[in-house]
Amino acid sequence: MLKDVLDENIYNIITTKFNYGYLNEIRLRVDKPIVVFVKGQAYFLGNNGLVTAEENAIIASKQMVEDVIFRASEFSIYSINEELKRGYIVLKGGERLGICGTLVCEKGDIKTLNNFTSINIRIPHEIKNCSLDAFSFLVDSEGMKNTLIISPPGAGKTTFIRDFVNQLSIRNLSYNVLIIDERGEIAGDNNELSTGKFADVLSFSDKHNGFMQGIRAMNPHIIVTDEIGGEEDIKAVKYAGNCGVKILATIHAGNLEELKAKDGWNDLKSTFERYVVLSKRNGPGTIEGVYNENFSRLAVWR
Amino acid sequence: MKYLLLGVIVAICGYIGYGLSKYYVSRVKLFNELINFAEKLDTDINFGKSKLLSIINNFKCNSKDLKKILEMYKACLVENKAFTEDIFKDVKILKDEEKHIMLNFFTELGKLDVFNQTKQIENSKIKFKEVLEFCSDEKKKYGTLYLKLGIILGLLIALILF
Repeated sequence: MLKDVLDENIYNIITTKFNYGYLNEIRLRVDKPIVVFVKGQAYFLGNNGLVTAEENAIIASKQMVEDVIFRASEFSIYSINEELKRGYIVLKGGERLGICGTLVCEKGDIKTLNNFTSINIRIPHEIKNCSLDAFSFLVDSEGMKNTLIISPPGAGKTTFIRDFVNQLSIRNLSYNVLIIDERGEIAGDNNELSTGKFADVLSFSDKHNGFMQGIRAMNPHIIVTDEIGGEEDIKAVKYAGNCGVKILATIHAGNLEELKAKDGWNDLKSTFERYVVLSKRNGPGTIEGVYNENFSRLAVWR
Repeated sequence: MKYLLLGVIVAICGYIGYGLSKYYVSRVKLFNELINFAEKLDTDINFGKSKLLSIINNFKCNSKDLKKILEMYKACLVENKAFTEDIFKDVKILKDEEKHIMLNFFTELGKLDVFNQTKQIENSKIKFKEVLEFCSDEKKKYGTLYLKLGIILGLLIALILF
């Protein structure tokens, strides 16, 4: 939980001086002003809340940055070396704490990360019904369409898929949903974020193992996963598609053109039947359009 | 009645002697247990990567003083004061130099990767063993001495009063 890791003063400011529900990110950089993103907009954090003047901002010290990581590790940095090597820790409330510092490498392998210099805390939000506008385009009487959610970082992809799974549950569409939660962001570190009554969660598994094991063990109708990217991810998605399992996945791209320019796109495009493009235009989670497999726009919101 | 009174005097003096000798016994116990604690840390960190608080909670401590220190340390960790002498608040048997050694040990706990943490624990263990040796010598020298002196003093007073 954020309360357990943040400096008491900072925590009090972000929970009392403005609407915490709109907070997307907190960025602490050593000897630089603390920056927060609220409704997708950047502000400095001052003692009285959000400020735009740098001189009124609270400056993050090295001690402050190290303390946050020390607390996030539950006072045991040695126990989070794998997370440090990956560059992020997931907190109990599902917040993702990205870390920058000095990478220690040996013979090309990352050994650890130390000398921490920056932290980026991303706050997950449960925005009820944020997927509702697109829902009817993704699920029809024949079932769910293989869907890819497209957006730049921080535009609400994870929030969207979490809400979508909840919508299935609300409608009592009793599909067995398997969530492959590689970073613990969809369902939280301990499944504390709501994912409805028909979802099983495989946490902290890479996609390759998650898809293989999940399909064998849980017999899902739908697999939900976040941020597909590498070759292994694409193989896993294709494998699931070939097994008759429906897929709801997300990918980083600003728009369809950027998506099509991605490596591995040619392997992936035959799998998906629907594309949902999100942006931060009216705050994270803004649906820009829903497209079919031929990229014809089915719906647009302005 | 007189004999009873004399007996009480001997017992009181003996008890004072015992109290003084207990100081040395407690110090030995504390450092003995501290070494055991360091060994547990070493094992649990290396093989289980267990969290610090869980290691402390699972440590069966036979020294009352170390138990107090560990309890204070846990509380101070949460309040971000673990690196101050606050952790020794309820313990009166430590000398300044020993506090310094222990504080160095606790300050670095949980802050390093497995390799360096293990090394740090090993180094601390060497220092603790040196202190333990010193405390054991002290206990040999003065521990039983105070107890004996207390009883002898009690007997002496009893003799004079008799």
